[in-house]
Amino acid sequence: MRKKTAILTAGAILMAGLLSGCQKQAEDSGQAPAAEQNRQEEGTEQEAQADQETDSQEQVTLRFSWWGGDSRHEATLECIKVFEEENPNIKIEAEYGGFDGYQDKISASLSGQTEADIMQLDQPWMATFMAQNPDFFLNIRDYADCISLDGFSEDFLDDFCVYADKLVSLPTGTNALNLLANQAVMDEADITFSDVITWEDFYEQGKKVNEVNPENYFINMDNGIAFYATRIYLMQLTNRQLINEDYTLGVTVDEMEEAFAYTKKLYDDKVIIPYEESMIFKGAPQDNPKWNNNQLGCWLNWSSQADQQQWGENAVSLPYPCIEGAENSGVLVRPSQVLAVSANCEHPKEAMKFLDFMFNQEAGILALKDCRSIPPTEKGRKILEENGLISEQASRAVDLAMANPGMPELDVPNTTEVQDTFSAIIEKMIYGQYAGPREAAEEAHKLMSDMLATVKADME
Amino acid sequence: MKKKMKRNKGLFFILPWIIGLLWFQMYPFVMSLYYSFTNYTMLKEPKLVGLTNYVRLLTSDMEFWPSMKVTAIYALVVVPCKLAFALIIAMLLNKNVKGIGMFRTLYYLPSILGGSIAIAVVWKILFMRDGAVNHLLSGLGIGPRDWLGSPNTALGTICILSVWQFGSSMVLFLAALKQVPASLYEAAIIDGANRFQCFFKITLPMITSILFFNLIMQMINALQEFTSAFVITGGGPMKSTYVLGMKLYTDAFKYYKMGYASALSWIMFLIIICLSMLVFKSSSAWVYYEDGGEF
Repeated sequence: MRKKTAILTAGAILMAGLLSGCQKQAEDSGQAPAAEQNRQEEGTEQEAQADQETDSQEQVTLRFSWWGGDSRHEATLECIKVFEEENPNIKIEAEYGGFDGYQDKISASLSGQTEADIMQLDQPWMATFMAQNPDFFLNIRDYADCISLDGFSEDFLDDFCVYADKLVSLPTGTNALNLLANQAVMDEADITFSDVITWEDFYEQGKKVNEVNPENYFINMDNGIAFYATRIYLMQLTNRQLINEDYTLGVTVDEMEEAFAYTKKLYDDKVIIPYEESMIFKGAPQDNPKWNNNQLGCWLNWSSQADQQQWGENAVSLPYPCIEGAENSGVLVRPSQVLAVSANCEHPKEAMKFLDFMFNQEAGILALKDCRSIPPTEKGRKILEENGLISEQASRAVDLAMANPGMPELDVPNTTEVQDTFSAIIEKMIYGQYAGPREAAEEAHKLMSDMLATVKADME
Repeated sequence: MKKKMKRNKGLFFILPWIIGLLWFQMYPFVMSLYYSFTNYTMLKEPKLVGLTNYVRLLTSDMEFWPSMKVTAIYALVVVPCKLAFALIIAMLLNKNVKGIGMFRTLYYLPSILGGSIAIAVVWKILFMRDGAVNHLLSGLGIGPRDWLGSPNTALGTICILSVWQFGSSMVLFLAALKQVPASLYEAAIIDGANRFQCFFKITLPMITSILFFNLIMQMINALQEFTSAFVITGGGPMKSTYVLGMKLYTDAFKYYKMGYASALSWIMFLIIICLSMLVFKSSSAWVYYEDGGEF
């Protein structure tokens, strides 16, 4: 009898667990269409609801996800702490980690509607996200009473954050392509550059580093950076986009050949670290021990990465190399990342308040420092400069880029598939799989055209 | 009535497992088949496209066949090497020597660590230009090589990592070796058989059932390889380690072609099923069961 009772009790507990699980699931699935519906409703209803919540000082929890390194994590956690002290009814749950896998995580959570309320995203991803669903994120302009947009450049917002007339994100900082160099390495090889650095000058001077010491190289580069460098050479050469808005290639085989020939020359003459050696540090060339050991002279990378070195006073920002007389400098300037608020966020006003704290309030700006590059607002930059909290190299990199910014890039060339296809051909060329740059250019033209046709067909 | 009650009670207790199986395995299994006929991107509602994904994969995808080739080479190298290595070590560990338990534990350790990201990272550091392997080789007068940076050696380096994780096969071989009756060896030795004859005529036939099991399991694992290639080389250099698992991941999570990746996963599934059936079919010719192999 006792045994039977025990079995029945165990069964009842199990059943209760299962039923409650089903119940929760039913609730969740009930919420999903509601959330979907919410997205389509006017912002006014959300505002009204949020007003009510704010008025009642109800305890609110928001999730904020970002990627970064230790310095960004520490600064962001400090910013959250200060915000929570000023707003005791709002709790921010931090979800942070490295860049690896972050995009996958965001895509999966957007798909399952389990995304964080506030998300740090890479600007080039936005085109893909918005093409899939234009209602993933809130229109920040609907919350003008919670967040001030006065300090932001309207042009910058229009170029990078507005989709279908909706301001779906805010830039965390200004990022520009930059030549970051190690003065100690340049001095050892007797390298001097004038105010304008041509690609030919860059090559001739760069060769000296390996000539002086065969273990050292002038340029630290992985295939991702090689893609950008070659692409910018092409943009300077042609004054056109690599890929047009109608998914056709914007450059000819001859033009590609010229750009590929230059990249190949840099590898062949050991101006760039050999591919075999750099390949293992793909995605993080700064992890190569030679980088901080004064054995690599420079990289052509984003200004937001300018702090990824331990060179002390030897770190200098130089102008990006160019083709003499080029109309388009090709130097890309774009947001370091963007912050967006999910359309599923139940407390949008509080989320916007937090964004305002990060971008416009002195306490927030001081806590964040330059952990996401140069602040996007004039006020933010001024506060950091006054307090000596801004990286000199990053600041100079942005100034140099803003003096002659390149043509704003379109979204298509930034998709992962385009980058991978282009990089794979450069890789094969460097490994000597083609008879020469001409063959590589012909193959690139064909493969990219085929791939773009497939991507276009999939979009339709 | 009582019998029925008893059966229902049993069913009731395995219900959580059945629910888990249906929800976490059968549902994704069936859905992936459905998605393979759609243009599903994870972020948008799927639209049926018929056999387009399969046709595109088999006819116009420039990466599919090279990726198949890399996976085939990987499996052909790893499976026999791993089984041979596991069997040799199992035979060594089958001796009655002092401290044998400790040796067995030590040899099994790589398998516990093996599947983790951490060990793949360690492997990367060992084989980098300034890594321990090049330092050791420099002692022999061999200059440093970029093991993972060269398309000729990258796949081999990943194969070594996989072969090194022989522990689970080794434990099974060890158990099988323990089951071989000592009387067979005694009789053979009396008849004048040497060690090789004992191994090929007694040991090997007596452990074929375990060899068969290990072969099936390792073959499936090798064809599904992903972690090492992803962490150590990212599929490079020049796609020399771009196994099918890597391609599946890239299509699904980097390019958002979930429907296309589902089609690829079903092609992989069919390849694995066909190869497994082939091995099963061949087993009647070379696998020995003491009880005749009747189930």
